[in-house]
Amino acid sequence: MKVYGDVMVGNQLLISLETAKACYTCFKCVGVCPVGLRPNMIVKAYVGSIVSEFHDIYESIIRDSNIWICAKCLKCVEICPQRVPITEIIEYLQFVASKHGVVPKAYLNMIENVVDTYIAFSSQTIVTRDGDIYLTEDVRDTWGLNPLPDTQDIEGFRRKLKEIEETG
Amino acid sequence: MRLAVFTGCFTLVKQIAVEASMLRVIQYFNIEPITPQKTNCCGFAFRSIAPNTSLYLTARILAYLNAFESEGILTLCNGCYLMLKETIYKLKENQRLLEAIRKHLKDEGIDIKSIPRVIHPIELFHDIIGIETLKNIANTKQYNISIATHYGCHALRPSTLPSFDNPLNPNKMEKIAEALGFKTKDYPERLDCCGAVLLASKPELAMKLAYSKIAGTARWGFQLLITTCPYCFEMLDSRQEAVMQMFGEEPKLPVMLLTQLIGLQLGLNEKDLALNFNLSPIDRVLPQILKR
Repeated sequence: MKVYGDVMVGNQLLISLETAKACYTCFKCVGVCPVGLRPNMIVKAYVGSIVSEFHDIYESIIRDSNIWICAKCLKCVEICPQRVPITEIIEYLQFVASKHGVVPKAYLNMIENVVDTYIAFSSQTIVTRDGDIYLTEDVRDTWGLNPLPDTQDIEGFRRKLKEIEETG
Repeated sequence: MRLAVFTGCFTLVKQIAVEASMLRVIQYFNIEPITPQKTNCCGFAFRSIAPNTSLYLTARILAYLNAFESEGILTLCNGCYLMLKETIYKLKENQRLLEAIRKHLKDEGIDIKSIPRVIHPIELFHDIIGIETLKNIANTKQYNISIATHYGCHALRPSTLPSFDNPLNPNKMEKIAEALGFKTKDYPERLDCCGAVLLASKPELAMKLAYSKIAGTARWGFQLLITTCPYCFEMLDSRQEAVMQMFGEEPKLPVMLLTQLIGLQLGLNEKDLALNFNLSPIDRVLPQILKR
């Protein structure tokens, strides 16, 4: 078996090969997955990211947008008799997929919003039971809640995020 | 008692009832909410794509909110709650990581001097305000209303992190509802996912999961479902009509926030509790609750 190297996200070492290889394909995770993913195959793909065995599965999964249909319900993690951290494995493969351009646009929009405004979403329209439509700012004001974060001095925050993204 | 309140982005811009009802209700219990204006995203959206940035964003909230001298961070959204809880675990386990993050935070003029306590709304009502206090509010009144509890995945799982309740068989929300004079019972879909995470990647699948949760729950004869999470509330309440229409059915399950239900018991008015933003058929159950 050829070892391709440690599996890293940023500067953090993730799950070891031994941990992932503990999966003996009991299919319990397949049974509980609400979206019909086959988490056991995803664990195999992760093994394939480190060693040559299952490398073809790894190559196909990181190019498939279905890696993003995990609902992050964490049921697979709870049912796994071997305690394989399946959602962390899925998140690692999502990370690799994103480097190949396989990433939902909505995630990129949220990231852009955070960089621009501190928060993941911009102002929205909010409907009431009576059919009235309000803007976020108006509702917050009417209910005496804080306005959305002030972005006047966001430059330092933005620089910091960029620095972390580039250097870790 | 002073608690720093972390609302999270989705409550800030969309599910304002989560914040409005919580602030009204906790003040009744003499809890002083600290609501700083300059918090950031918890980092959930960055988890897979930019994990280092994600960790920094979460740590930044811990540092920023910790500076306000409170007894904990009350976290309104389940997703944010998981992020904060997980980050605290990572920082406690890894001193080098903590020091590296503190260095970055100091550049922004903030620091994590101590690791704060993160509090979930269910934990607040069950463990801090307490069941006896809630029983006193209900004052032996009993309702013929059967409530389905919905905790939401990230309130409980993964069980590898410390939890305020049994992650595999929680019961604190049931105890709260029963203390308030309502009936509860277990049901097969109780710990099922609302689907909200999929709104960003596959919305039609998100709707399918929400349908499965709503239709599945409704068939057991509940009159009301309660939750605390803004995303679960979005899927189960705000989008219920659209979800049911997708499958050729009518909205059928009234949904309220736990804080709205408690607020009604306290005699707070519907506007203060932002009940006009509930889009599920709560008119079916509201008169009975208001009759007390």
